[in-house]
Amino acid sequence: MNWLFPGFLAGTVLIGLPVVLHLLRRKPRDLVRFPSLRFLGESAQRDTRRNQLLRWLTLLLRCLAIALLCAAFARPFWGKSPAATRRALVIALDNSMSLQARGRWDETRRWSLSQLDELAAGDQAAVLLMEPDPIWLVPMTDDLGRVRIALSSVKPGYDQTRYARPLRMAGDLLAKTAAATKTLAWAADEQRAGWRGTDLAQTLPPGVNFRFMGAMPAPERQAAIIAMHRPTDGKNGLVVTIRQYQPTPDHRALTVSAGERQIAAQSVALHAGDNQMSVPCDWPAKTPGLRVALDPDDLPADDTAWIAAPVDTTNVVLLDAATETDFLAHALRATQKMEGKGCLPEPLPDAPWPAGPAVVLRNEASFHDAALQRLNRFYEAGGAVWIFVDGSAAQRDWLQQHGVQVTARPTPDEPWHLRDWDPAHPALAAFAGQSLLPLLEVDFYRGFNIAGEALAPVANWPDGKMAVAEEDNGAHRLFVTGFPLDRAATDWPAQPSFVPFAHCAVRWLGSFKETRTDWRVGDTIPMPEDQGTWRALDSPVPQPERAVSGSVRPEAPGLYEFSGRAGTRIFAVNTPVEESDLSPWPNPNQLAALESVAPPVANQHRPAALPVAWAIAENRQRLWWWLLLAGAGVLMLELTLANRTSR
Amino acid sequence: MPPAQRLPPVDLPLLAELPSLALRSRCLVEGFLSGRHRSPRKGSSVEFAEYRDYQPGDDLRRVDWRLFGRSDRLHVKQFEDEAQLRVFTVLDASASMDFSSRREAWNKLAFARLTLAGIALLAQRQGDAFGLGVAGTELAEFLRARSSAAHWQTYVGRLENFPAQRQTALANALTSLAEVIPPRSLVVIASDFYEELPRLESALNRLHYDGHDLIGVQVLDPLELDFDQDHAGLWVDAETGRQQRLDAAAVRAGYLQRFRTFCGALEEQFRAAGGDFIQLRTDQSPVAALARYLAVRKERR
Repeated sequence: MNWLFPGFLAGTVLIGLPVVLHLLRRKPRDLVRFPSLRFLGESAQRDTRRNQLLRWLTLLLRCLAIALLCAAFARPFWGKSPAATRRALVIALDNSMSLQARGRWDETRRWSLSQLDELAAGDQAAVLLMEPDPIWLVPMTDDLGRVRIALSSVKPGYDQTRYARPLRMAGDLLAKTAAATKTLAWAADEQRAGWRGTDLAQTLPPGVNFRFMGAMPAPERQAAIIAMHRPTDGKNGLVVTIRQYQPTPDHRALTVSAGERQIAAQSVALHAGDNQMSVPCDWPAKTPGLRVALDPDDLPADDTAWIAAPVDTTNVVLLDAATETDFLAHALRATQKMEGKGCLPEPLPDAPWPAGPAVVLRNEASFHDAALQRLNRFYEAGGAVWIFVDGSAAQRDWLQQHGVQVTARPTPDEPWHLRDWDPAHPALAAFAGQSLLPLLEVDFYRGFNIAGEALAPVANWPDGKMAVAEEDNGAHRLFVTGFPLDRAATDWPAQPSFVPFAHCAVRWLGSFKETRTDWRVGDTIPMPEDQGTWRALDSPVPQPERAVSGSVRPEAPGLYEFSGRAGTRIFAVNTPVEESDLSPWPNPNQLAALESVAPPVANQHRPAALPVAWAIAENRQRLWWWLLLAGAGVLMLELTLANRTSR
Repeated sequence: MPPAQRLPPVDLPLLAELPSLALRSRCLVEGFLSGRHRSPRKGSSVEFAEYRDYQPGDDLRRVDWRLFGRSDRLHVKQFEDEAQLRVFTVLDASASMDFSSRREAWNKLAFARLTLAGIALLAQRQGDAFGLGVAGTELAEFLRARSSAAHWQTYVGRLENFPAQRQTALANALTSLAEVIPPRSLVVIASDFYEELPRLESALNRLHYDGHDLIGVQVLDPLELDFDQDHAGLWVDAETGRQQRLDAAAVRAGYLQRFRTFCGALEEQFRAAGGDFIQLRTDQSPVAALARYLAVRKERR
């Protein structure tokens, strides 16, 4: 018998209350003088003895009722006590795309099951699925059969490996577990890309054993299509970049298909590294996109890639005049080297601003006179505006009119660093799955607090006040950064993280003109409209059509179509490039050092968080309900007896 | 008998604070009479009762001259209000009467004394003669019936100063009383009547046979009537000294059943002996007993 909330058992001290009351009340008086005992009869003695017995029985029932109520609140359940659990095993299962490599998944599953075989009845196990986000496939349980079934049924996906979060989650769970032996079975192929960004100096909690599968055999043949685009010289066909990972040259067959129809095929000679080649072919009319495939190698998942039919649009961003060096314009121009994704910064026109492009405002002049009228007209028509707050009166007034309060922050002794970045915000799409450290290290020397009921924070100042925020009410989009973009206020423009942030932010603001067609599994794709349907036109994984709003995060590569009121858009989603690199982390000893050498901390205290398995077991058994029922029955009986004994 | 709630209220705690039984009984009777709003005296009655021989000193105006003319003998007319009633009050001074269960209730013996003194005072004011008998193992105290004011003082003194007795036999005392009191008296017995009923029945029948009117005033403590106590302990019989370990809550039902049966049988015995029976609680006014006395007196005349 175990207790989910054993603290309530302390309530059993209340049993002392009726006992004390009983003893005080039942204290017999020495002598009770009475005129005549002649009417008491011969049965008086017998009645007295019986009543005495009933009183003790009543007391017993009272105590029992209190004990039952305390026990019910303590939520008991039948299960192994923490001390009885001899071993706890967490299997962290890498289900990234690299596990689709020939033989890897079978080996991983076999190894995981072999870890499970070492457990005996009473031991506990859990399975943590690493991708796309770490999730408990099976919470900690002693039902090892369930763990075995889960391990047998799961399959690898197409996501990129990220080891940092699963490693910490598994370690934290084991640290909270009260088992005598705690083991983290790391069922992964130790891909170099997966460990990137992990702080290997931070060991697992003390007492957690760390087991590896061991190095996977290197693939004999491995190449991946990492990029495709149409020739820039206007010729028909495709330019395909294939990265070969094995050092030896190879020959592969490459085919290009439009739907079920093959439109080109050729043999390609590959050498180690990137191989760019032109594949002449005609784009069939009205085809949504093309599928390019290599003959399968050891990792077939990345041998097929898709390219969407191009959309002739340009992402124009309108900027007001910068007071000093225009860092933002430089950053945005730098993005033009990215095919189909670049932004073209242009100055604000003196005419009414065209609908469509995002507008970035950085100085006070943009909030006066004719510019102000244009801004209001543009904003009310549904335009997207990014404002760098400089504290000027006109800017402050305009923001105040639109529900944004701005207050200057006192000058700091030490530079500020922004915190609480919202990693799910599209402006941070470039940092998805990566460390946010570059953003956290930016220094700020001058800034403004932003407040407003309709604002959603994107990042905060160290004291929790909003520093970067967004208002997106469907009609228009306002992005506010609580600092001016000059070197006196921040060194961010000089930091490498500024370009991807600025790029993603203006893309998000102008997402209705999103022209990017090359997406990767795991990316969050902003939809051109708020509502629509999403379906796979061509994908190795069958997927039903579904309604989407805002954004989509595809879990499998393929050619997808979004249908909205304004029409359809085609998206090509391909496998993550880094995931195709199957090379393991070069220094296995470094990984082995993750196991803490500190002695395990004696688990004298109950863990703050309850083991999920306990909660599940308790919820399944619901013994508290029966105890409450029994307590009510005992109370009724006690009431009946008490009435009889005190009448 | 008029319902008890229609009788005038008497402030028992106030009575208890008065220094003497005489004063207490006087207050009781005054309170009782003022509540009735009419005088207990009916004035000079003209209703003829009987003749008696002329004695020197008799008022010549009351000689029946017509009868003298026919019989040549002097007779004096006697009228109803001149027929004196003899009231004998009997106090049971047994140990069981020396009991009070709670502070606000009277001691049974004191309550009985007050009741009897009240009746005696009422009798004295009505011009009736009143006497006293106190029950011990026999008739422990006896005072002949008279109606003078000086006798009232004697009566109260005897009544007040007689202590409770360890051993009593009410039936014996009543039998002894029957032998010494004149016939056709009113006998008012204040007791809890914890006596063997057959013996009591015999004594009551003897009194009834002698032409006495009987009023049984059973004086009881609230605890005896309700037995509303919940504690356990060693219970002691006040009369016999017998001890018994009891749980009051456990024996209450049986006690009440037996006690009510006893009271019913007791009342039945008084009725059978042509008497009245009244039960008084020591936490309530005893004026019901006074009213009963007046009712009996009226019936007698």
